[in-house]
Amino acid sequence: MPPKIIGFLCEWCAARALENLAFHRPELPPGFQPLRINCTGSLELEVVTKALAQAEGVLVAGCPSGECHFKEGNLRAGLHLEALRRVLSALGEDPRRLKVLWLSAGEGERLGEEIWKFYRELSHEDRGS
Amino acid sequence: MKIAVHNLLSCGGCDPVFFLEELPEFFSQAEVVFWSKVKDEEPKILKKFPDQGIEIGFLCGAIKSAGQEEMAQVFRKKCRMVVAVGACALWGGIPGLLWAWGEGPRPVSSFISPELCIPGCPPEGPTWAACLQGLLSGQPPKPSEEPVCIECPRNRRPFRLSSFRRFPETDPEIPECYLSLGVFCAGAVTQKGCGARCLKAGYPCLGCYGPPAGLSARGERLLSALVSALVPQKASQALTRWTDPIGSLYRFDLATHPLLRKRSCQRSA
Repeated sequence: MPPKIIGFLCEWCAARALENLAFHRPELPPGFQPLRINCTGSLELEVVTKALAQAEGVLVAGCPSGECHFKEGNLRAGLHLEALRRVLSALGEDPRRLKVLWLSAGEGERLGEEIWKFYRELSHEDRGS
Repeated sequence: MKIAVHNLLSCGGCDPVFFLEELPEFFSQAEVVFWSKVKDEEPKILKKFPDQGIEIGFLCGAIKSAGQEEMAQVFRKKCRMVVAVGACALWGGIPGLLWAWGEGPRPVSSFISPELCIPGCPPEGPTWAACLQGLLSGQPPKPSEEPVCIECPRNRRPFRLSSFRRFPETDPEIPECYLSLGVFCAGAVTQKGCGARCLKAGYPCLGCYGPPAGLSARGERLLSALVSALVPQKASQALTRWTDPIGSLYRFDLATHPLLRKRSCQRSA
């Protein structure tokens, strides 16, 4: 089974980047499931934890620092996810299963590369375990 | 009225609460037919009773071994009503922290469905009295939607934090909300009912009464609330200094965490 990745993409940047990328019809990993969210700052940690229980990897992609549509949503999300990483380590989970990306709407190609990179990392881990 | 009491995996602190002042009225009507802790009886004695022959069965503690699971099944079969008592029986409790190092115990509700759950570590006397009266009258009380903060005497105000603190680092003379002092007090994500005993004694809430009705993932919510209050410039330092994430967030309900449930399913598969 290919590793499943759930992607939470901010609608102001990463979701648009994915739409831009889609014009080129690139191939994305088979288990990648993107979800459009209003802002990474609105992402509940409960949802991320449940996603980690359902999938091998969770990708959270939001706007670069200083470019949040809601001023500091990405800043807050960054702190929340850093704290969650600490909790994941304490729970004995691999914190690398949670990947955080900051990119703007024009960086579709980079988003595709990062998704593939994450997919390969998770595949290697699966084979190693 | 015949009742049976049994301790599974727990510290054994729940059933002594039967001796509290609020309960003699209840026990004047009850005949204790099985209480392994008081009289060293074999579990097979319980099997001699006819099915549904015991009115109420009180189960305290979590379940780890096959013997404990069998005992819970026997209780379900022999008792007309099963009452799960205490944080261990409801969410795994303190023994549930074993999940951080490997296979730990599961709550009673993972194996059988009890008629009533009495929260607490241990449950306070008034909680016992209200639950038992409700059980006998056929209307068991529902979990409250309100948090412990409703009963807490400490002063609340808007706050920002520059760091997290452990309880011994706080000044006992300051009557401010523990969250505003940077202490992981679980009162905001715990249902009321205990009368905020710990907080009135000057100690932050540990969360033994479980989540209020309708609230899930309380650990994540508490973490989210406190991290949101951090001043961004000092947040990384505060998170580095933060010790014991599991104890501060999942002290009583680690056994019900979705990530650990998934891990245990993978192991058993």
